[in-house]
Amino acid sequence: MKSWQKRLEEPWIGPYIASMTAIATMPEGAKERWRTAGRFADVLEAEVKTRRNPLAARVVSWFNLCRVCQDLEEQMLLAAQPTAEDPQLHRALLSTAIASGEGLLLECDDAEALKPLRLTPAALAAKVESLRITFTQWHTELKPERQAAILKEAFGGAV
Amino acid sequence: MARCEELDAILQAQFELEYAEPEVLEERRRRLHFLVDQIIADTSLTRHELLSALRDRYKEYKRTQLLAEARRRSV
Repeated sequence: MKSWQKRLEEPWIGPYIASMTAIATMPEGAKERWRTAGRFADVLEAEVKTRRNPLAARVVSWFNLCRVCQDLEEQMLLAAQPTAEDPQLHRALLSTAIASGEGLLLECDDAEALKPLRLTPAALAAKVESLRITFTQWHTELKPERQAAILKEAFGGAV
Repeated sequence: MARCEELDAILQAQFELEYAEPEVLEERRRRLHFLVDQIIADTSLTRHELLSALRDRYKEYKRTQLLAEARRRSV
């Protein structure tokens, strides 16, 4: 089983992630997206974790992994009828990207290693934070009443 | 700045952070924090709570931006 598939079955992923047997019941188009995005993500995640590679190369792979997540998200936003499985895939890939990014941050004690990429550890942290915001906005629960109360407290009746 | 404009500025700042080039990531994060902090000052809210509550607004904002970009590319 591939690592991204294993991640889908980890208990912390939460109740929204179906087991991989659910793939069998998906429409063909959705299955193909799962396979393609999953394969890309798997390769990229492996590259990020390969410590014998230079840190800069692993960071580039990580940014590409982030781009795969973003691309899927754009498809979901623009699709006339996103499949029910798309959010599951997005959630799994985003979890992988966040975890990999946190891992890279732990190894970023040498800021010089990131200079060829015009990056700093703080910039990397900013990207991870952006992913975390995305995860919160797409995959966490918020009761409508609470959401309305927050917006009212923040913006008054103006929005 | 009126409250609606402040809301739009936060959505724009989040979008610009999400699509930022490496060399401006820190600056874009500072900008988002600055705008959010202005709104939540004198409230009991956290950055996380506010950004979480803006989920629907942000998705719609992002969708609009993506469609506009697609239109620009097709011309």
